[in-house]
Amino acid sequence: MTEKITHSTAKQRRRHRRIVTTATALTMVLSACGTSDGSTGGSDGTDAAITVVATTTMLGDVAKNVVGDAGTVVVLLPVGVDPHEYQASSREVALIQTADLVIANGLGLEDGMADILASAAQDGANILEIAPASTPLPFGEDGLDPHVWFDPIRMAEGSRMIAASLETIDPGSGWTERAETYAAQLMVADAEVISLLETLAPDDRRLVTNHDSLGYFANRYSFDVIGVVVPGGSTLSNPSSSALSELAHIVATEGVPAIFAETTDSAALAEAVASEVGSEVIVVNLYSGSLGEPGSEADTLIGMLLTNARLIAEALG
Amino acid sequence: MDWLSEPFELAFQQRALIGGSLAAIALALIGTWVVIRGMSFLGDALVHGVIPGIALAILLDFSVLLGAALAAAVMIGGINLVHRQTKFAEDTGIGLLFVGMLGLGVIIISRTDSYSGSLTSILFGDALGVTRGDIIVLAVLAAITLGGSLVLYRPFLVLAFNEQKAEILGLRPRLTDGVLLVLITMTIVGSFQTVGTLLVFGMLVGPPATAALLTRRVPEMMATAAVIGVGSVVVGLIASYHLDTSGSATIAVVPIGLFFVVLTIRSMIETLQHRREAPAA
Repeated sequence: MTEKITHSTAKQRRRHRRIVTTATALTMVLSACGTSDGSTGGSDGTDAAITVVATTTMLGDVAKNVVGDAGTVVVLLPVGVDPHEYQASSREVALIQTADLVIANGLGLEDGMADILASAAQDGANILEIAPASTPLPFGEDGLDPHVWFDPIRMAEGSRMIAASLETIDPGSGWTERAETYAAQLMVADAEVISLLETLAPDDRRLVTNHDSLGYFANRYSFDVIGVVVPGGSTLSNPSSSALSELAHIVATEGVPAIFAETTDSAALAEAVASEVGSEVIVVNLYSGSLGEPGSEADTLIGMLLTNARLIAEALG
Repeated sequence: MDWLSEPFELAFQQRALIGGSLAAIALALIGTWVVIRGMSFLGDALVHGVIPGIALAILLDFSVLLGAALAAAVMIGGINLVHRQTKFAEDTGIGLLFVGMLGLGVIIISRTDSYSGSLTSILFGDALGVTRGDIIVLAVLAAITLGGSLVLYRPFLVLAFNEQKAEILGLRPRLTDGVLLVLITMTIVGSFQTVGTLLVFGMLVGPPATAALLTRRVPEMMATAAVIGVGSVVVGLIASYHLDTSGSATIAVVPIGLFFVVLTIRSMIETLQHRREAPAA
């Protein structure tokens, strides 16, 4: 029975060898994707309209702003889930395969989906990875930092990349105009973040974080990341006892008033360091790997950036 | 029929089906020996035990399979040492080495400054991300386990049921044991990199254990386990598509669920038979 199924539906698929990592490479791709026969439609019957898939909730929000009413945006990661750990279902991989455009963060952020994204790209899925094309900052010894969504300027550029890509698929549906409108909103948000952080003197601009995820924020708004609780970027990593006590020492001697943890991860180690130093050090949860719940103040990328800036200004002020 | 064929229309779904089935067959064959000889814990432990080898291989830039093989050799050597030099049952040694190797793996990963995302994705594959290259690896693996099980059937069988008899028959139980361990390690490492840890755990023990409930003869057990394994891949992929659940995890759960269904049905039948026989007795 299984063999029959394989044979009767086997389709000729054009294969593309590499993951599309830069905006310039986008002119290739897309031909075998977007299966047009209705039988694969399932529940989402969006025949002519453009379908865009985004991996993280942040990229989903950017995509929704660029796509507007001209298509459908499907976000794979649920709100509040660490993007490192998510594993996709067969239906979602089918969506990746047939969507007109897949927007991924890249640089290893979507660990659990790395296999799937790589093989989908080989099958000719149209995958746009935002982080590698956003002049990423170095990370660790020889890596690149995937957490680009903390920088509104880079995300404005990202929205333009998405528009440019959609323009090649379906020209003249207002992608560029909407992307420019959204990019302008991000610029306004950037100015708001700067003014929220205005109260902080250069001496206050020192961050101790749970994971090393605030590199772009620090770079954009002149902060220094002076300590990180969990080393590396992997969820498998654990800090050593000496690293934690050294961190507690840094926090105490530098007089840092807060440690920033994430809504998507346990803050237990950050709490341990804070209580080691004393009661005056607080642990503040920032929105990091995911937007906030719908209806919360951080349910959009701009809302998330402003909320984080406000929390940081309050904690360090 | 759309309901059945729709989950297999796209290329990746067909690769998941083929790759998953090949892994299921290899694991069913090798898993039958694992279940008969009571080595399930060793099998599970090996999957985690090879992590430090793989981590080192990535850091020092040598073959991942070589790293895994080295770690497996260290682990099995350590287990044998504990087994031979103490009076503990074998599971004590496995427990010691399991935690020791896993801990070592996390230590190595945590020592690296760079982003170790790639390490995680190398460690844990996904059935839905199987590539053509993976399918070749899995096909070779299935062929080796099938060949090994056929050629070494008698030595394995005697070893499984009577180690002393194996010695008397001149079947060299030590060597046979070693070959079996190599086969188990190879199958586990090869398949968990391509289809994921969870699926390997599920397929190594689930189908052979279910088959053991249904039949006593080893060849029948292997065949039944292979059929159950492949069937689980098909059912799991259909379920993952329609229920929108993680691919590898869904496939892994199917044979475990089936085991308990078969167990329940079997004990119901036994109870009924018992009642029927009771008045006569």
